[in-house]
Amino acid sequence: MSIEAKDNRAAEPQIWTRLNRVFREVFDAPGLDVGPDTTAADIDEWDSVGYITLIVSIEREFGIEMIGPEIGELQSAGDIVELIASKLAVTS
Amino acid sequence: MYDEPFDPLNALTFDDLIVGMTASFHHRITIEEIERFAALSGDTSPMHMSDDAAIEHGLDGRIPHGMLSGALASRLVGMHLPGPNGLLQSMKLTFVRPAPIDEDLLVLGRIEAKSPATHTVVLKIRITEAKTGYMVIRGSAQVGVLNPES
Repeated sequence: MSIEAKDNRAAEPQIWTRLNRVFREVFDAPGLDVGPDTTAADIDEWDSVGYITLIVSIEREFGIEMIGPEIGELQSAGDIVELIASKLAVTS
Repeated sequence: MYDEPFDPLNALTFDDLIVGMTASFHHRITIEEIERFAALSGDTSPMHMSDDAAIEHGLDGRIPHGMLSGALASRLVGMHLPGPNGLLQSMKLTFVRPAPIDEDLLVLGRIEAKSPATHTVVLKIRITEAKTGYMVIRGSAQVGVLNPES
């Protein structure tokens, strides 16, 4: 996983739609539109507590469970979508 | 349900917590508590301190501070669910109606989500008038659960 995550918006449109909804809710930013390269540096409220809230909210939204090493590698929204997609692929 | 007073020997750990687990307690807000909270917080707004001032604002009488009722949510987290291993990270409260004075409130928490990756649980919180069931506060809390040193 890296900051230069590939643009997977076309391959995972539903995940991106739902993830954007989660971001807007968690960070209380109705106009927020995150993309593959969005990182904590782009969102003021994306601090340590905000990140935990984000992870918990993503787990609830997608019905998945992450583990510590996985979330430690996430650096961008693109990374998050990749991880979600891999989790959903395993459970479907 | 964990209605009993906190027993430090039975502090819940993260592994003990399961989605759906609930805890509750009763509390009665008194005039003395309002006076003490006003002194502590510096919020001496007349509608909290005086029946006459509150009536002038269209209320039936003085009302407790919202955060005095909200402090019961803190007690829920710190003493009941999850208890002393819990570290409050965020809380969202909606003050639906003022708490009654000298009447029982029911403070109820339920674990809505548990995240092993972040050692965090999300609680749904409801504070209601015990007698009528009327909602006083609804909200949620995100709580980190620390491992006690063994």
